[in-house]
Amino acid sequence: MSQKLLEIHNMTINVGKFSLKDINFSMNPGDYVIILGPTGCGKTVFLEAIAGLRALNNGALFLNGKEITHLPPECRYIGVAYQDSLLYPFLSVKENILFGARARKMAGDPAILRRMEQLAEAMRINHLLDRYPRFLSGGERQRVSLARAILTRPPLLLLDEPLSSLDQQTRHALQDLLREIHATESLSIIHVTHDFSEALQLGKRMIVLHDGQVEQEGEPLDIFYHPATEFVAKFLQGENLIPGQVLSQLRFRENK
Amino acid sequence: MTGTRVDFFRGMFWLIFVLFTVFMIILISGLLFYGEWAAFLSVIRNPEFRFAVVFTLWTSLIAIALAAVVAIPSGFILSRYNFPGKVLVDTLLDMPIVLPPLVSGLALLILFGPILGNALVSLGLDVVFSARGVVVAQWFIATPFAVKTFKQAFDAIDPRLENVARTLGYSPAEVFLRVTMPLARGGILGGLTMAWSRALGEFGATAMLAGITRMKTETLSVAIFLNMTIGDMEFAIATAVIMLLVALVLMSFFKVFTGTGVRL
Repeated sequence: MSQKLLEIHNMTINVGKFSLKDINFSMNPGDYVIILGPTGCGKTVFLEAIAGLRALNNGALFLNGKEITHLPPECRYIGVAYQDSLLYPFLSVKENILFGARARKMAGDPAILRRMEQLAEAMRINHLLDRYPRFLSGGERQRVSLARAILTRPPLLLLDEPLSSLDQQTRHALQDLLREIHATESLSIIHVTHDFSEALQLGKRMIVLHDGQVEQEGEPLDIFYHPATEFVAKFLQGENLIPGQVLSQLRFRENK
Repeated sequence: MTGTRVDFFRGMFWLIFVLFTVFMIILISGLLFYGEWAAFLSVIRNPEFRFAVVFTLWTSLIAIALAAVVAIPSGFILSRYNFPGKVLVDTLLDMPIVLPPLVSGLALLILFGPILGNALVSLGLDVVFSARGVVVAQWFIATPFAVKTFKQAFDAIDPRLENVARTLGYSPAEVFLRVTMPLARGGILGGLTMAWSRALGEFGATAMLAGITRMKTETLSVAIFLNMTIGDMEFAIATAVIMLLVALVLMSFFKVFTGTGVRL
């Protein structure tokens, strides 16, 4: 049996009155997993816990079979890109992309510089390398943020609503780009979103989170056709909901 | 009708604003033009004046360096962490801003005199009635201004910018140096300027802790006071003009650094 890339056992995190409760999760190398849920369901807390930015109240995390529950973020080598890019305004695009390499004392390495140039070309930002973030559009910023996150080839990339603040055209272009880099870079990705159409476009596997708990897990289309709960059905915009009871496989009684 | 009311309302605001600005201009002009320029030039050549300028500069620069050492971590802790009694601690650190400087000076005098005085003297670090006392008084009065401004600068930084740096491989200390400080640079420089201008003009606490001894603990503020008491108005006015010009330059820097400046 091949080794799992990421395993989460009974993860519980309390943040004020909110709790992410008893989450169990695993993924294989190369998977593209979507975490879907409404605002406030715990998606970002889930990602931050994997990245090491939030301590667990209970449970354990394993990356490539090695426990990382108490490992600080700088030792996990997990890439993160947020919705609003979070580029450093005092660095040029090139310096932003190389920022992680500089932390690992690789910024002067010719191989890394070549990789940066290849990535910039793949991301179609090679003409922007000397500009500063304030002179970039939202889509360009997001491309730089992705390039920065994957420059040093992290084993896992975490995306926190990376397309939410973009216009429709830019969003579609970036969806194509994400599909492309997932394939060409053999990246493993966990992508958080509240947009089901984005989930359909990108994910092979989807987890629906609600109020800090896993509501349903499976393939996006399968979840869409067979929602396990009323919440999932409503969240995926099911409009023909008829309250009633299932009496047998072929019998249904509508509530009056 | 509504338009007329709005015009009257805004007109009154403009009137009050313009009257206050004119008042400030008259006040400053009075100070600038009351004395004679010939006397001003002779004061600049006066050894006592030169001592006061140099003494104020080096004491205030040391005080500001020490203020930065204290205010950067304090501002960061107040900005990023919640802990029981935070409001009380925050208020306590603001005390030198709201207390009359004479009261601050009295508190410092008691601490560095009866309480710690003997121990400090045995270590060769006597503070009371010495140049060291001037530095301590300036540091004490200036530090809360720096803490407040630095806290605001750290508050304005999205903590996720620091989080991203952690995931990219930087330790907390490296994140602080490579991300937090560059992002807070404007606020830090503005806070230092503000605190320095406060230290430059310090009088009350300095007088209580370090005394007002001519050519020994004589800062520019002390020089004005000493010469006013013996009726040497020319010396006092020339010193005040220098301090005024320095204050104008420093406040302009503060506004530029903190981005609160208006068009010149």
